[in-house]
Amino acid sequence: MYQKTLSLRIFGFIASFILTVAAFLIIIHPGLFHLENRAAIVIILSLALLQFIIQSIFFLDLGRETGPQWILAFFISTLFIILIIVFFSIWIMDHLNYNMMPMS
Amino acid sequence: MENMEKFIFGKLTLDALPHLWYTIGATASILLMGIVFAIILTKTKLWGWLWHEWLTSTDPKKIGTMYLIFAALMFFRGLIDAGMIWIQQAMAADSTGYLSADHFQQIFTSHGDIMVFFVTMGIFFGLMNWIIPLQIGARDLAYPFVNSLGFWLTVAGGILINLFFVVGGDFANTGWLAPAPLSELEFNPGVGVDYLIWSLQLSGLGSLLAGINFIVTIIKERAPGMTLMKMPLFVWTSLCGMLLIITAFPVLTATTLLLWLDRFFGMHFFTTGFGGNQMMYFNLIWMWGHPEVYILVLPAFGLYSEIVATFSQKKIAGYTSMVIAALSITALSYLVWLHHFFTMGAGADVNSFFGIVTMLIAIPSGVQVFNWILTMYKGKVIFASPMYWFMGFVATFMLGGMTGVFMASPPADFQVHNSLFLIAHFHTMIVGVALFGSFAGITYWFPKIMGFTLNERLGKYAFWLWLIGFFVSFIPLYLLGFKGATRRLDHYAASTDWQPLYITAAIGFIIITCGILMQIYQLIVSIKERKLHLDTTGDPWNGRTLEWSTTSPPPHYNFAVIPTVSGRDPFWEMKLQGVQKGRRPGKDYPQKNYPEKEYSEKEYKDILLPKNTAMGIYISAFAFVFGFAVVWHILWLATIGLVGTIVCVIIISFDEHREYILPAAEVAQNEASIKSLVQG
Amino acid sequence: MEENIKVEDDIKVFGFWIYLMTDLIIFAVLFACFIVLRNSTFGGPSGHELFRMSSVLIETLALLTSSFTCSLAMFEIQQKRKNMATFWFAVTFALGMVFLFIEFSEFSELMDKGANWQRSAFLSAFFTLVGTHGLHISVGLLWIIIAIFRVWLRPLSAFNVCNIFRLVLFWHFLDLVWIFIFTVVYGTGHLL
Repeated sequence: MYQKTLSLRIFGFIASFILTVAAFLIIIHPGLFHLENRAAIVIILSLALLQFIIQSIFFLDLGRETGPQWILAFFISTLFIILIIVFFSIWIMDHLNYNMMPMS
Repeated sequence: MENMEKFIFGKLTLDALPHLWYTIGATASILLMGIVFAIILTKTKLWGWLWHEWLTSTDPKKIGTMYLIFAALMFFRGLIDAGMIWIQQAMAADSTGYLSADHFQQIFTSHGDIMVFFVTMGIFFGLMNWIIPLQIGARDLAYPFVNSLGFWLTVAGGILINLFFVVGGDFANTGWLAPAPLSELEFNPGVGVDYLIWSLQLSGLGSLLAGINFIVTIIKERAPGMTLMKMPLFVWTSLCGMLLIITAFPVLTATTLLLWLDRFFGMHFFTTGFGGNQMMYFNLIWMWGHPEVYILVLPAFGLYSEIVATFSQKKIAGYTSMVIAALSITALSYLVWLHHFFTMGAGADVNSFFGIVTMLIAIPSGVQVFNWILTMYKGKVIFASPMYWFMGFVATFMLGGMTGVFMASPPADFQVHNSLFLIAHFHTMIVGVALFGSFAGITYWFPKIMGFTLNERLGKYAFWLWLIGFFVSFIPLYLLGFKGATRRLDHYAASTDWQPLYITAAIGFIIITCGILMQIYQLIVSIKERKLHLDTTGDPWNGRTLEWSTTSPPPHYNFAVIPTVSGRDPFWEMKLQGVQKGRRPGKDYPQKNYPEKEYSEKEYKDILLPKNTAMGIYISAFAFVFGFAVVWHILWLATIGLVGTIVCVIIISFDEHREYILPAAEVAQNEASIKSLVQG
Repeated sequence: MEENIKVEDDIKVFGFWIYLMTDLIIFAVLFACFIVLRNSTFGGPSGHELFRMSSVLIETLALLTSSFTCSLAMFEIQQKRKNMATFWFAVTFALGMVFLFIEFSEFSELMDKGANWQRSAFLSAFFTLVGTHGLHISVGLLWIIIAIFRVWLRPLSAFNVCNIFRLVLFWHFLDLVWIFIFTVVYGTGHLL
């Protein structure tokens, strides 16, 4: 059991390490991978999301609760709330700026 | 020398001492009340009793009572504010009235904040502390210490919002949400806004802790057999409200903290210069503000469901649809905040999205109303006073709901935005739904809390005064809104013809005040003649849920033996199956003297109960010191407050023995003495 | 005393998770502010001109490694090996200090260039978002010191192990937030 836990942690660490370095390389030299800056942003965001999922599973043991998965349920609903907060704010504020601040 | 003074006192100077008629008056009355209270306690030697039995208690029932008392005190503060607003507006046609513009603005700001944060939330936290553990068959909340801490943080926030009377002299004049840039240092250099910010920080933290506590309690501490779909509806809607608290209150904390960073560190989130964006403040504060409305009304919805089922002597109609409706309201309420600022100019597609989602909320709300009415249909409805409040609520909720749907349409909203129409709408919701709900709930559960019922006749008088007063004071506001009166007017031209309507509204306020006096009279009379209304059965209304299965008031361990639940109305079922010996339910009302289920001594087990702790008070006191010091920029004092808070938290984190064991023999003895008391 | 203490299902852990979720929402608000205000530089320096990616990478890797060593410490706690647990906590603490030191020197470098939080709304949002994370790290470091004391002064009972477990959750959680600060603040800031 504990041996298994240890190997989970090591896997999570190595995977996160690789993903971080990969994201870093793309940020520094997007041209190296023949990427436009916008495409590079999409890719590093996906890498971040991937690392987020990996760390949640391998470090935080998400989804390994015994019994009903309450923690997972709260985690996912919070992610929805965060998406609402961030993306709706951007959507609303972009429209406000577009309509109300034509100078900038 | 001057530097030294600045270091020691921050922005605090002698000018901050009371020197206006209202600050001197309030300070004097606070001191006087404190002295009288202290003298009484000293004479009766009750200091120790107060400290050990109440203030340091971790029993949710006692904390619930303290929440209710605290909310009642704050209610009188908010009520005086409301009266001053109405009188000023009734007087101020072509005159300045009796209040200066700045003072008037401070009054409506504190009226809003106090009524929302401390009164309505305080009452519901009080009722939830009392009732939720009883309804789910638990002995206490998941974290008794956190419960005490949350209460005391709320109190610290409540003291901070009133402290400007004594130190400072002026409160925020911005309106209850402190919108930027009006609340920025540039336009508001005083400490009023800082008091507002730190009061909301402390009480917001308290609410957040209480929210987490109730969620964990409801999810993890239910009695055996009580699955989610067997929970009483009050528990369900409270859970929904608490889910909104944990998702919305962090937004409030963050937003007001950003405003404070602007004011304290000279940052530029919402300032007019340096790229600050004031519209972001509105976006963020309403992202909390709209769910907050549902935090106030959702528990009331569940409470009405309990009342209508009990007094119709029928199970609630459409339980599953009620749960789905409550959950949909919870989810939708997080997607509608922009309807508070349709006029800001986000454009047609953004406005129509939020307008449509807002209208969608009417569907689950309608489902609830129809279910309540269907519950009454073919039931043997008993018109006790909680039922009166319920009927009054249905009427006001119709009015408030329909005006709400009306304003959900952006073009219509443009006409009445920030007018008195809006004020009338949200007061219809908060007074008519949440406040009527808390009165219904207090009347309904009063026998459980105190052991005797309230005087029904006076309660009904109070209800009629409230209902009539409510319509007399708020219908004119709807009309004024259509006539173009905006909110927060401290004076207006007589040629507008608004004055008669404003005077009518003020008369309505007087009627409401009579209603409140009637409630106080009702309380006094009920206490005097409590022997006549003693609730010896624990079940005065022929109830359906578990809280009625224990004695009134319950022993501090709630249940001698944790009940096992097999259905939705567990206590009703116990009565039907004769587990709870006595008459069949539903025959006559009120039921008297049917005996409790007898437990043999072997069935009693040792009970684990939380010890009292004063740590919640100490932490809140340090947090209060921190808040006060930050308001006045006294850095050394702020450091003391912060370090004290952290040290206290560390100390309590090492305290492993927070519980004690109540031996089974003692439980048996206690139960026997309760029985002899009831029979004797 | 039982052999292996299983703390994951403790009721306190569940409540602590909910607290972490509320903290995550606070960070979401700060992220939203940062993104909305990212172009409000008011003539001041933008992220592209300010950020030094190499030190950010070292910071990131230090925090990631500390997250890993922290989980190793928890592993040792559950095996009841106090010495090894203390060692891994000390490593975690050192890496956390490295992180804070780099962040602090980055901040002071920015201040020297005149790019302080009063310069523009963008910089206010930057300092607040990264600074709030730094503040959480400081709280975590204090908690690590207390945890080391707890390991040596108190028995490894379920109560104490559960407290340490919550610290480990907190520390992992801070690394989760940092992934997005690295990507959204520094990454897109550097690319745009």
